[in-house]
Amino acid sequence: MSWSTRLLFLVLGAPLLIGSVLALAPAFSQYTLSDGSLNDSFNLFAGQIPPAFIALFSTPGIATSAITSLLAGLLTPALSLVSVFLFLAASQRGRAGKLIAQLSAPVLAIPHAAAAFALALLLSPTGIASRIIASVAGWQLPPDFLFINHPNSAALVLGLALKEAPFVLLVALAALPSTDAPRRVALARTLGYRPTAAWLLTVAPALYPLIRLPLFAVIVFASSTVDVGLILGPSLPPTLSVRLVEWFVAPEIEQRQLASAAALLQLFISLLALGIWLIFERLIARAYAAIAARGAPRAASTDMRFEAVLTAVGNILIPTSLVLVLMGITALCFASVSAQWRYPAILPTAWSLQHWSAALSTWQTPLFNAITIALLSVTAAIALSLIMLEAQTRSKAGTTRLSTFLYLPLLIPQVVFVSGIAVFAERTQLSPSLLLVAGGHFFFVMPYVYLTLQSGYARLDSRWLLLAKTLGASTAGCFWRVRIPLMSTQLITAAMLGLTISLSLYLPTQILGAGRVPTITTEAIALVSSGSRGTIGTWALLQSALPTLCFMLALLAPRLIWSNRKGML
Amino acid sequence: MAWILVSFSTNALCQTSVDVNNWPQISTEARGQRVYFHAWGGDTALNAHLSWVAAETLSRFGIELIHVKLADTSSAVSRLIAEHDAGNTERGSADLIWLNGENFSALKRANLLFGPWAEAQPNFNLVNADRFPEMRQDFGVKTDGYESPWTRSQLIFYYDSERLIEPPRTAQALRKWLKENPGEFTYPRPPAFLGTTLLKQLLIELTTEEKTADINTLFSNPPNDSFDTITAPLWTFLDEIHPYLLRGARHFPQTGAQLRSALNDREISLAFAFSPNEVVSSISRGELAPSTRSYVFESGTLSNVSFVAIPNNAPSKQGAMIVSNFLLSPEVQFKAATNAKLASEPVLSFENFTPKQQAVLLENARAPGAVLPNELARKIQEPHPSWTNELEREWLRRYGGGR
Amino acid sequence: MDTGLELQNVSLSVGSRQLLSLSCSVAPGEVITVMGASGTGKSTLLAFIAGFLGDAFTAEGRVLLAGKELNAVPAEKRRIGLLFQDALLFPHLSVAANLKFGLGRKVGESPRERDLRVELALDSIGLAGFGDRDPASLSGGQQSRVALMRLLLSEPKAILLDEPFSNLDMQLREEIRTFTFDTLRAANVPAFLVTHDLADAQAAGGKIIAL
Repeated sequence: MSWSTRLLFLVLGAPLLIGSVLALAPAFSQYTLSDGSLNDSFNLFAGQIPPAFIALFSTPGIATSAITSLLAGLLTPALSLVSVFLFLAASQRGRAGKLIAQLSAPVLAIPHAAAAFALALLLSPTGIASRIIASVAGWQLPPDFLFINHPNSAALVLGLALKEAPFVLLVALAALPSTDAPRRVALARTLGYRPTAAWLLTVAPALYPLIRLPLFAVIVFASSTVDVGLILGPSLPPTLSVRLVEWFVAPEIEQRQLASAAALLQLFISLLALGIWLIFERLIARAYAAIAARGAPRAASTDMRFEAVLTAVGNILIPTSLVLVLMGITALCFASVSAQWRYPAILPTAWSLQHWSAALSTWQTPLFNAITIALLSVTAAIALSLIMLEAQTRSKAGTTRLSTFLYLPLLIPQVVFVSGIAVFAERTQLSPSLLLVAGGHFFFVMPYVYLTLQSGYARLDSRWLLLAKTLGASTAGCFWRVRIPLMSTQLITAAMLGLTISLSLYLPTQILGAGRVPTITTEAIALVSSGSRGTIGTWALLQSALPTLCFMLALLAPRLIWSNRKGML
Repeated sequence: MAWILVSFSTNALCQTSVDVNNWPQISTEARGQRVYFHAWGGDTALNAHLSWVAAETLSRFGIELIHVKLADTSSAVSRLIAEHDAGNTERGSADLIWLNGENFSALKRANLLFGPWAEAQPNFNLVNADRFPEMRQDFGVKTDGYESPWTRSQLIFYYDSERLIEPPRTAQALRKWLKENPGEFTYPRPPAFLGTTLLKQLLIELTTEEKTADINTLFSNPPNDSFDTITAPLWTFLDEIHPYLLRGARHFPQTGAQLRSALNDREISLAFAFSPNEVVSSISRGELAPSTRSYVFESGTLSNVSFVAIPNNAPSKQGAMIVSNFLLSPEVQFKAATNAKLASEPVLSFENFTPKQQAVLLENARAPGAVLPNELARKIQEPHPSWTNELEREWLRRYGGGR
Repeated sequence: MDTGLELQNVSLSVGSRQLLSLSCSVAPGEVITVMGASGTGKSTLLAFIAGFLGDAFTAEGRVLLAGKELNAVPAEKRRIGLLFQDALLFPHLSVAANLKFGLGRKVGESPRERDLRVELALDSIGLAGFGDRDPASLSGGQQSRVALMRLLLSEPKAILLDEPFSNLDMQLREEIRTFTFDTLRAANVPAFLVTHDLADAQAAGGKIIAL
């Protein structure tokens, strides 16, 4: 193993290991009662169950919490995957398809919590949708129904899918060229299959393995999200990760131990979701084989209806999600400048800038912190990635094993090991500071930055470097004069991705910073409890503004830098 | 070896250097200190008020006051406990914490608070603790000078007078009204502070009515084996009203602020808050309609004082004490009391305000939506803080798991 | 005397399968052409000579340039130039910057003097004043000429050509071919051409080796 691989393992693996161990260990320790006395000690090796686990499993509704999290972890990626594949099949990179794909990209810049707020603003009983119906149906009072926060977690899945589908779409689009889709579809069509069905039967199986790992990250994220779970998830009982955090911040020590036991359960649930997903992969593969064995379609009418349905659904799902997001953001904008917006008014009845002036009078420190942390963590991630990728290129070492390992931080629920890192920081007397939080952010930003740059390295035509060498450029010269400029778009994309991720992180900032390092995101979530539509709308927009700005810069920057070099764009 | 000696001696230096009775020395030592004040950050008006306080402490005392906005007070407590576990005895992250109730009793029990110091403050006399014993008691637990009063609050109910002519003024009336008007009321989900407060309020009222237990038991002692018998009427009551709550009790709002939004959006017509100023300040912010009215139950409602305390490992204890004393000054108490956006009552005795200030305060009491002073006088003391935990635990056991 | 480029008993294999084996020499100003179908290892041979042999291949034999053995010399120090099928002008640099890329630094030379050399080079290929242009705005033929000039400005001791004319259309091919070989002859460096097109080999006018 080269030194760069060792470095990567250390940089990513050590915090993961330490954090997980420190987070999970208290579950196995002796049970301290609230008056300070110790319970009878137990012997793990004698087969006795640690008290923390007994307490966990006797917590009311714990099974429901776990199952809700599991369902969210499975339904979110399923919904995202189905809508993305149907969309790609129905649009087949036509002009409308390309446009929709381009419009999906900005959605990535909106933080999850902001998107969740937007959805709640749209679909709650006092939301925009309800008000529009009220204006038609003549309602004066809001209906009493439960969708947002329903125990079946439908709203949670929808809110997550709104953000994850564009992510899966963009990953799929990046991988699509290597599947040679047009030729596969053409071949299937000559055998009698209709276009949408042809795409689903021939391209989808080739595309799926290329987007598997990102989907796994979605599974783990959806099954363990805290901020979206708080906003859209059920409360009786809450999802497992929300309960975990409640227990972790509680003062009593047995709650802390309960949190550790819950963390282990959360880890289990996320892995179970992955396992079930893998089983479904096999089942679907078999179904595909059966369909293929059935041969070309015969009954023209049923086949056409099927095709029509598939195409219609494919053309509706993703655009609808974009429309929902757009409407939600608009609603947030209105909320942020509303002084009075009682039901059933569709637009605010009184306007005011008070929410904005209140926000802008307190946003300097959070803004400074957020930007500084993002810049620090992303710069470190880019620098380290480049060092490692360069070293690998020069030593011609293998890189495939690395990319799977890199996904590891994304496959372990954030909530599980961040708390462990916080305990580690306390034990080593590391005071909560900007640098510590930036270090925590680096850890989450690194995989995405590395993978983006790695694909840039792989895609760079090797002849450029050969050419430079034959013209006498040194190794360092090749790097700075050829590789960096030619990879500038990927560098900008990696930076943008990293900045966006860092700016939306909540849990690491809150736990590692102990509340002393406020960022825009932590401030926004602290104000959830304020119940004020105006305040929430304002801070959700503020929270979205920075990543969106980064995103626009990332789009514009190449055009500006290379405005007189058409070959670079 | 030398290192151990040095750390011992600096430790000793730190501990003996704060003489709470030598106020001039404390003022001098406080100058230039940075005080981290851990307090809930979900109220933008309170945040703005504390920003003003910070500007004043800087210009008057040379103290840099930093308001650390918490989403939940118990996170400050758990951080303190974690610091203690990790052996951090001198460089704590908090110098001053806003807290009361079970949070205070947990910290005091664990010896994590500095003190006694509160009664040594020059402004402490102004709260007239002899006449108002609640200034020395936190949920029935004696403060012993380990925390200093800051604000006081009381549970009040409020309703939309356009949709409700005569609101229920007792627990029984509430039950009757709910059955006739389903979906018009709900409460924040325990362990949210406001939700648990309603549980306590209902428990006290039902117990007094049905005389199932001695009220003094509830007030001064933690619950014991008779918990189930004493609380039985409460659970029966809740079981009866839950189907008639908003969303059929399948989902509860998280906070009182969300409850207020629900009233404003006409989802419910009755709500409550732990702040006598709630309706007046909300109307001024446009968050409630001017037709909203507030009141207190016939037999009174829960009232308590919230305090500020100084952790044992606070680096800037002197600065924290100066800040606390400043918070008790008539100037700050008046500014808070007349800030229409703030939701709290002053702890200062009325006579300790200047005549001009007193006139303004009386005028404010007549604003629309304000609670009548004679209603506010019907105060019920908080029970022992352990009741909070036990009630929350039992509520979660019965209803927290969903159907 | 400059013995030019020499290959002594060079043998390339992948695994246990031998790809090719040859010995030859090219004098300065001459062009040797290696011809063969695809997959016979022509490009691999060029890679070996230039110093870029991939890990999958094993090589035996020696490469000598002006009498010096090159086997242990790293690629950037060999002073061997490569001309590809595509012009591969760096898209992020201007035409002049492309030309300057391989320009060795002469002792005591000022930046103005370097610019002058580039301008003269552009003039000699009929592209005077094109220095500030975006390479993507040049035609295929113009790009090929700039690529060759860039190569020559780096003052290589030998030049390898990897099917350099195959991406050009018929009309352009003739013109660029003539231009390239005339320029190479005038530069008096040994050149190694790999191609599958007989017309290229004939225009080169040197020895032809078939693989």
